Amino acid sequence: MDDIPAAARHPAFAPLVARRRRLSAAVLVCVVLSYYGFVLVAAFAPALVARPALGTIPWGIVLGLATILTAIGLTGFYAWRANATIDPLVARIAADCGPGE
Amino acid sequence: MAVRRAAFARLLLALPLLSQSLLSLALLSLPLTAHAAGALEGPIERQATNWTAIGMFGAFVALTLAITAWAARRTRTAADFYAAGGGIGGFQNGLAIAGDFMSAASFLGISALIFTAGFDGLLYSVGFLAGWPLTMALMAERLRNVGRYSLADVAAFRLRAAPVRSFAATSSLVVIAFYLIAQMVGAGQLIQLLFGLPYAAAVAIVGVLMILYVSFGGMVATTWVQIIKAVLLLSGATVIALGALARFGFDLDAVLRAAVGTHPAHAAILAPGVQFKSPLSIVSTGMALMLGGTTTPHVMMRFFTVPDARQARLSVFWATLFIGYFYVLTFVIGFSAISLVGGDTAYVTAGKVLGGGNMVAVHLAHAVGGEALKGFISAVAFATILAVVSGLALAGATAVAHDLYANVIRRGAPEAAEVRVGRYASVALGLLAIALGLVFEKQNVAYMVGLAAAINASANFPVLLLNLYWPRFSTGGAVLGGWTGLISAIALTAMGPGIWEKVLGLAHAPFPLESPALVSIPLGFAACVAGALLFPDRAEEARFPALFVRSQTGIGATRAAKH
Repeated sequence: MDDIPAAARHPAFAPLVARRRRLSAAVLVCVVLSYYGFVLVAAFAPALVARPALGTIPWGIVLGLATILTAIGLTGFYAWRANATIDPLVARIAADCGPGE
Repeated sequence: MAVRRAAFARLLLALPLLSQSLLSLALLSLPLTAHAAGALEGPIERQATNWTAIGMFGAFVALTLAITAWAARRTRTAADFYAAGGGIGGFQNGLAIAGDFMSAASFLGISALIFTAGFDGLLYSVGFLAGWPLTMALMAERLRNVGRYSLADVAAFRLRAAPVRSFAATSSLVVIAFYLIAQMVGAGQLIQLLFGLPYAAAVAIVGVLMILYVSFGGMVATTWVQIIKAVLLLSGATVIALGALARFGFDLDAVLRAAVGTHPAHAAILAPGVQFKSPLSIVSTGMALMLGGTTTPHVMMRFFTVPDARQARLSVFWATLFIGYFYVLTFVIGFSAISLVGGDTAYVTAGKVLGGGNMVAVHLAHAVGGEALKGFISAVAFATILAVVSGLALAGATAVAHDLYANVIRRGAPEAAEVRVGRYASVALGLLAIALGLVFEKQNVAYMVGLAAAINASANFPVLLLNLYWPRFSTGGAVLGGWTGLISAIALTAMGPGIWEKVLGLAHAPFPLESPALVSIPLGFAACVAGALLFPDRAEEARFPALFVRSQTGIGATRAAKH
């Protein structure tokens, strides 16, 4: 373990790793639940999917479009949170440790 | 250790031959596939020459060639050629990624799939899109922080360059070849039926234009071709969808009522099962689409064109927004077409769509906007294929020139030589694409794209993920796992019902699912872990902290990339 870069010892590094891990985990859990929820319901409960939700529009189509919107929302959420909380930490580390190249 | 290394090296040498023979077996059997996936298939009839379409396409070609000439003057270094000098903004890159992603198989294929199978077509769109939050959370920023030009750069940061780059380049080229075949065949068929040109001429036009864009303009030209095409495709699809919705008073319920009334399967189109016959097929295809759709070499490569992690993140957001919007449009187009196209004997007679099943979106354009809109959509569809093929060719040229030539075959080659090899490689890939397009004329396009996603999810994805996240991952793990994923995905596809029963005419396929993903992805991961435990490497583990810090901050030792 001889070449651990200086950035790793910066006081902002541990918070950076923790925040990114929390944010990634939150987005991952949401996308896996929404997408595999949709896929598993479609695969194993087709009758439920066919049941009308709004007039002729069935639950399957509502869920499918909702999953598309969820995916867009999740990437937007990640970008928004990461811009606000991760970038300032990266900037602090970069200011002290330099680009290092 | 040395003995084990030598044995390991022999194993490495044998693997490409084995996978090549498996691949050629798979490829040889595919042209006969009668697999009904719905996209870009069915009988093709040449149509009368559409001058509106030719005029608009001519304008697109003139504009993009002018951009290529401009880009060629700015493409000198390897960084220019592979990554547009890292100077593309997040919004532009998001549009270009959307351009890479919204291929003809997406536009014509998914709308055609919804037209024939209803709800099952929607499963494809949702699956492709669900890969983006995953890519955002696990890949995009870290790839930008660690890599330079190719995915293999990220792996070679701490793993041994020669075996890892050889694997990454081979599997990238395999995945790219499957996508290329799909796009070239799609191009040939489309142009034949849209423009009234012979198939061979159509394929040759696409190949030659692609060579010009990529070999002269590199990533700069390819990016702008993608952006222009993405804007054209999004506008064209918006106009068709709005025009179709207007026919129903902007009432989605009325669209579906009319669709159920017209479609021969009636209310069955509102539930799964018209296309997917078993629940596990849905789950397996779903896995392949989510894990393998977004992590393809030509899409991931786009993260190296932006300057930093923030722009990489913004690229994913914009790409997801545009692609998601586009899938909502294809959904509207597909379901509206069931009644507006399917119920009109001018387009569909005795259950057969005029010009082939893929013409649905084009017929809908004609139904709502007349000849002018049809011509515009035809030109956009052609431009779409051209742009996607260029992105694929550039990713392939990178695998050959950067990974194989400059880092394995002739290590330390001067940069000018590497770029020159890249340009030659793009010419060779263009010629190969033309040849593949001619050989696989009758091939089913959607099937190839699904297979490419499954292979990518089984071979490249586990290596990429474990390298970034598991300190004990080693070269042995990458090589064993990568090749296992690649070979098992191809072999299981060959043993699945799509080839075993429908092509070879044998009874009872040994593997019951159309998509190998449900088995081959876990197998790829398991072999990666097993390989890393069997062939541990202390030095590689010791380099993990440097990789980790760099992936988190973008700061770190580039010298590690030279290992």
